[in-house]
Amino acid sequence: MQIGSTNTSTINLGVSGDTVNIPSGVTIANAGTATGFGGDNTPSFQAYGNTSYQAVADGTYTTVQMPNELYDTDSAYSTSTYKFTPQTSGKYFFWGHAMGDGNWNTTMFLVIQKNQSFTAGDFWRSNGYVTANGGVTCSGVLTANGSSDYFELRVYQGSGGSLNLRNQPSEIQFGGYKIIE
Amino acid sequence: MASLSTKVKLYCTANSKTADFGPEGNVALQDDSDGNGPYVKTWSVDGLDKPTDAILANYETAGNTEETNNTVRATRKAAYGDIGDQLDEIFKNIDTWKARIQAVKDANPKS
Repeated sequence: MQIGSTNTSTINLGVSGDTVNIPSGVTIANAGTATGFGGDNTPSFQAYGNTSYQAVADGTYTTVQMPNELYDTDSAYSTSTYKFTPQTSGKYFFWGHAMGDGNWNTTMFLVIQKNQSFTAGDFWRSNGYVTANGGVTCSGVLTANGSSDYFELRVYQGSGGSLNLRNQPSEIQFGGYKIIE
Repeated sequence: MASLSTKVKLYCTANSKTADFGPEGNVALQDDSDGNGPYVKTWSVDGLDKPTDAILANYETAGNTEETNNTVRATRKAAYGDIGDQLDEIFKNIDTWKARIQAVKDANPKS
């Protein structure tokens, strides 16, 4: 059955407040363009490090410097402050990765943090003992208010001295995207 | 220049306290990578006030000494070798082991 013709531009089903039911067993096959359904996982971004070493002082939660972007759909990531400040509220999935240069011979902690908070629910932390350019990956979901909330990747080590992160962009990364809710 | 963590440790030790910078520790140091360097983000050392910049500056010389000695300690530790190997060395000839350890200490004196 054909509904609509070559001179029909819009077909409306129901009015505000109505429910359009699709019974079980029915298949909706779309060969055209669908808009208004689902979402597109934005804002999203992926940042990466420079080809220079970053020193991490002993006992100090240090913001990982990533002045480069692979993509940044809503210009929410700053390549100078290294903060992601999305202007759309909701839940975001984040991941971060960092590698130590050489044999750290100590534990690296990697933290994805909202508003510099260490309150449960505002940060994710992962750790690993770093030898031979070893690294740590951290990921998790955090909630953004869509205005002032910002997110950072921080690294920590307590060796007693300063240690360097690696200088390869593929080894220092921070990214995230909004979850479709 | 001595690191902030070293100076905070010395300040706490001088006041019979212990600074713990790790997860759930009593002191959190941060560096926002904005060029301003590390700072004390949170301080919850029981019975001891957060130090001012002036107080921490008093620990600069002692901090440099401590960090130099930390480097010496690390060098010595590497030269001592695996603890299992040392136990074997002690079992075979403790005097030879003692002489080797003393030579490492002599070659890497503390300040």
